[in-house]
This record gives sequence, structure tokens and C-alpha cells, in this order.
Amino acid sequence: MSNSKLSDFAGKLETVLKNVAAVCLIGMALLTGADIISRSVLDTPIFGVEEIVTVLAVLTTGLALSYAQSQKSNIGVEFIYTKLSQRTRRVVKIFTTSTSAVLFGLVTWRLYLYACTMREAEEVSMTLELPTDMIIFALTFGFGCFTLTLLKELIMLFAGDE
Amino acid sequence: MEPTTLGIIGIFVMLALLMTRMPVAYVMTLVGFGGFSVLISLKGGMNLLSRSFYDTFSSYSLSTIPLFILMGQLAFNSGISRRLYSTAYHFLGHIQGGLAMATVAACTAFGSVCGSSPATAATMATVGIPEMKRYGYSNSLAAGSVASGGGLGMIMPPSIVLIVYGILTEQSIGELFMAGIIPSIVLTILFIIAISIICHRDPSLGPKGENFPLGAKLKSLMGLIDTIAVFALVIGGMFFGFFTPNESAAVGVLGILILGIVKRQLTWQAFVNSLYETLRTSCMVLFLVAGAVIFGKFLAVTRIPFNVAAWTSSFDLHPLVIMTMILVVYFIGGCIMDALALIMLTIPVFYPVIMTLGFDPIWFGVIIVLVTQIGVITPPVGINVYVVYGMAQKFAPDITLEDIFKGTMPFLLAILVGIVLFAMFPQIILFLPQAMY
Repeated sequence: MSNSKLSDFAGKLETVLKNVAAVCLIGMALLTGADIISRSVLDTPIFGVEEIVTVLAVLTTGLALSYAQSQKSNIGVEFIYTKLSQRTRRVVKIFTTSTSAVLFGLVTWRLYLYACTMREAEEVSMTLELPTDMIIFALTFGFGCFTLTLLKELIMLFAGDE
Repeated sequence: MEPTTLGIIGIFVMLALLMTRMPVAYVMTLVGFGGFSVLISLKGGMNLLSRSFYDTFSSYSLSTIPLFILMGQLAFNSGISRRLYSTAYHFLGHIQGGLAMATVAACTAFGSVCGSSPATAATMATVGIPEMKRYGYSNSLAAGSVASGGGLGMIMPPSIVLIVYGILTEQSIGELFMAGIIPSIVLTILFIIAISIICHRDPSLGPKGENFPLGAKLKSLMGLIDTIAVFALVIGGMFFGFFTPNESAAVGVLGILILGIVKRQLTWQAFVNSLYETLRTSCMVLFLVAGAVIFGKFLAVTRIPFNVAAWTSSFDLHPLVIMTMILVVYFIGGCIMDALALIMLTIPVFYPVIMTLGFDPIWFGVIIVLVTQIGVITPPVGINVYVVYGMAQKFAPDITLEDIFKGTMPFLLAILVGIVLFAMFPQIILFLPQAMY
């Protein structure tokens, strides 16, 4: 896959995941609101609402990780970095991006193994008996896409585009 | 190698990595993982990575964060700020420096539905600065009051920093929210006094504005109703035990959403932007929490927090002297780093110390948020200053960064006075939580 194809693919994937995450986010608010209404008006809380909200929360933040990375949302200390020369900055950026890519590649791999362990143990949630491994696989996918975004940034850095 | 020695090396490595502009959350994760792996085992370190990220991202209590952020974003995009400003303007606009006072009061009111300091500053800049420029206010007072007033959003509930502090230190979020109310009001009053003194010394800085008849003033109070309703529902609901923090946040989101739709002030595009912005910020916050958890586990293994706590308590110093030293660290750190990141980074070390010294954790939470709030208006970071500068370029391009930094100085003094007051009289912070819980 060429660099531009990888960038296009990562960009499209990021857009799809961002929109799914946005739907999950508003879903969390609507579901919690519906539970309050159901509880106070009908005296019947929605069964397992806490678990569904937790799953939606995992999807909301997990799937938006690559979007947050491409938007440079994570806080860094600019103080000294901005005083460096263009060339030094580029070297530093390559170092930090490649370190981050390795680190979060490792996180993705360990999350995958963790999900497999949960699948073997047939672990489920307490109320709705949702399979825990599916939730961890979803988070693994989010971290995988996030690592892909870091790799895309690294390729762009090597190509001279900061 | 001694665990404590390795811990100190880890802290130095972390400081060095932070200077590379590597995101704080990534640095905490990397150093925490590396250090834990060396001290315990590589397998243990890798398990720590997967478990910490999964536990953080699937925490029900942490799912309150995206909801409160969304509430703030919707408030930001639905025109609430304009109505708040109009009310404050009707009551304060006619006195010397009154428009700047109105801006500060509106910032506090807006902070009650929006827990973000830069968002409060950005939204008030678009409303307040053009009006102050129209009445001939000096650039420094106009922009300085907005940048500083925006910082009040950080301490007024629902404050995102206080939520994260509460979750990390296992303190009640409801109590922390309550604890933030009186200090926010006291700071608002101190800011208003500061403006009054500046304008008394040089009336040309903030000329008088329009004086409205009593009827118009009373009518303007209508602009406060929606904010008061949402605030009462969110904070009151949590207070009186009707809602959990998650439910409060969801009620706030739905309340502002319905108000925005009914009043036709929330467009589809603004709604979508609110969602996207919430995703961005939520990921950033949760990443920081996960990083802090990993880094905290590493520090716990090194026993540094406990050693520091034992070491500080062995000094023959008054606890307030040690607290002052801790606050100086937060003050300096706040000048170069985002408040949330700084608090995440330092809580594992300082929290055991303040517990050993016998300070109230609720009081400490509010105080450190206040101290780090100074960083949003001081160089070199001064995020609110840059936000206001960026916004002001659209309608007042003659405002410079120097004007804004200069304009924030009186407010900086007011915050310092506030901190001294809250340190001398902790009951200002603790009265409400103790009375209500």
C-alpha cells in the first residue's frame, strides 16, 4: 500500500469511527435520560442501563482515539520545543512519534491478548451478561486505529511533511 | 537498584521527555510502564498497560466526563453566554468599569454550565470585548478581564478538573462541586474589586456605559432563567440525591439541548461540532487519567509517595509552610503545563503528603485547581490569553498579547489574595460541603 493510500484509508476510517463515537456519545445521554424518566414516571428503571452506558462510553472514547490524535488533542509542553530549530524539532518529533507508535502498538497487542483471555474464560457482565471480550475487542480496535494514525504521522514526517 | 533511586531516575526521564513536547499522557504511560517493568517484571508491566487502559475507558464513574464536557460544549454553542452577559450588563454597565465587571460576572455564571476555562474565555471574548471596545475601554482591561474571568469556569461546578481529582483521590464529586461554589463567588467579588480599584485610579480605562431603567433591568433577569434552571437541576439534583453524577450530567446535556432547540439557537452544525469537540477533549482527559494510573502504580512500587510523606512530616515545620511549598510547585508547574495534566502528574506524590499532614482533601482539591488556574493567564503557556487573543483578532485586531498579559496582572493579584483567604479560612471552601453532606 503506498503512503497516500495508507493516509486516505486512515483518514476515511477515522471519519467513520468519529461518527460512530459521536452517536454513542449522544446515546449515553439519551439512554441515561430515558432511564431517569422511566424510573420516575413508570417506576421501572431500564434493565442494565449502567452496563449499556459503560459499553457506549468505551465505544465513545475508544473509537475517537485516532480522531483525537489527528486533531492534536493531547496536551504537551511546548515551552522548550518551540525554541528548537526546525531540523532539531523534526528529529525530536520522529523520535517521540515512533516511541508512541511502539508503545501503543504494544498496548493494542496486550489488549488483544486480554480480550482473548476473557473470551476463553467466557467472562460476562453481571446484569445483562454481555460478553466482556467483545467490549475489550472494541477498545483494541480503537487503539489499533490510533496506532495506525501514529504510523501515518510517522510516514508523513519521513516524507518531510510536518 | 533501590526502588526509590529508580523512581527518582524515572521522574527525571519523565521531565526530559516532557520537554520534547511528547503528550503528557504518553510520557506518563511510557515511564510508568518502563519503571514498573524494571521493578516488577516485563510481563507485569505489559499487564498493567492493558488493565489500566481497559479499566479507565470502561469505568462507569469516568463516563460522567464526556457527558459534562458535552453539556459545556452545547452551552458554548447555544447562545447562553450572550443572555448572561446582557443581564450582567443591564445591572453593572452604568458604573465605572461596569462592563468588565459584567464580563467577569457572566463568566462565573457561564462557568456554572461549562466546566472548561478556555471555552468560557472564548465565548465571553466574542460577547464582551466588542461591547467594551464600543464604550472606549482600554485593550488591557477589556481583554484581561475576559481571559481572567474565563479561569473562573475551572472552579465553578461542574468543573472537569475537580471531577477527575475526585475520581483519582476517591473523593465525593458532589462535595467537590459544593466546595467550588463559594470560592468562585468570592473570586468574582475580588475580581470586581480589582476592576473597581483600577478604574478608580484611571477612569479612562473603563468609562461608564448605558444606565437602564429598572424595568429593563428586571426584564433582563429573564436571561438568567435557563442557566439557573439547568444549574439547579444538575447540581441540585446531585445534591439532594435525586441523581448520580452521571445522571446529573445527562440531565444537563438534555436540558441544554432542549433549550437550544426550543429557542432555535442550536443549529445542526453547532450540535455536531459540540459532539466532535467533546470526543476530542474526552479522549484527552481519559488518556491523562489512564497515564496517571500507570505512572501512579509505578510510583507506588518505588514507595516515593510514602517516603516523601514521611520525610515532610519529619520536618519541624508548620504544615502550612509545607503546603505553601507544594502550592509553589503547582504555581510554577501551572505556568508551563496544563492544569489537568499537572494535577494528574503530581497527585500520586502530593496526595499522601497532604493526608499525612492532616489537610482536608476537598479543601486541597479546590486550592490546587485555584493555583493552577493562575497558569491560564500567565506566560509562557497562558492558554486563556492566547484564546482571547485569537478570538479578539476578528473584531479588535489592535489588541496585542502584551495588552492581555498586562491586563491580567490585577486579576492575578486578586487570585493570590483569594488563595491566602482560603488558606487562612478553610471554612470558606468547606462550609457548603460540610453543611450539605
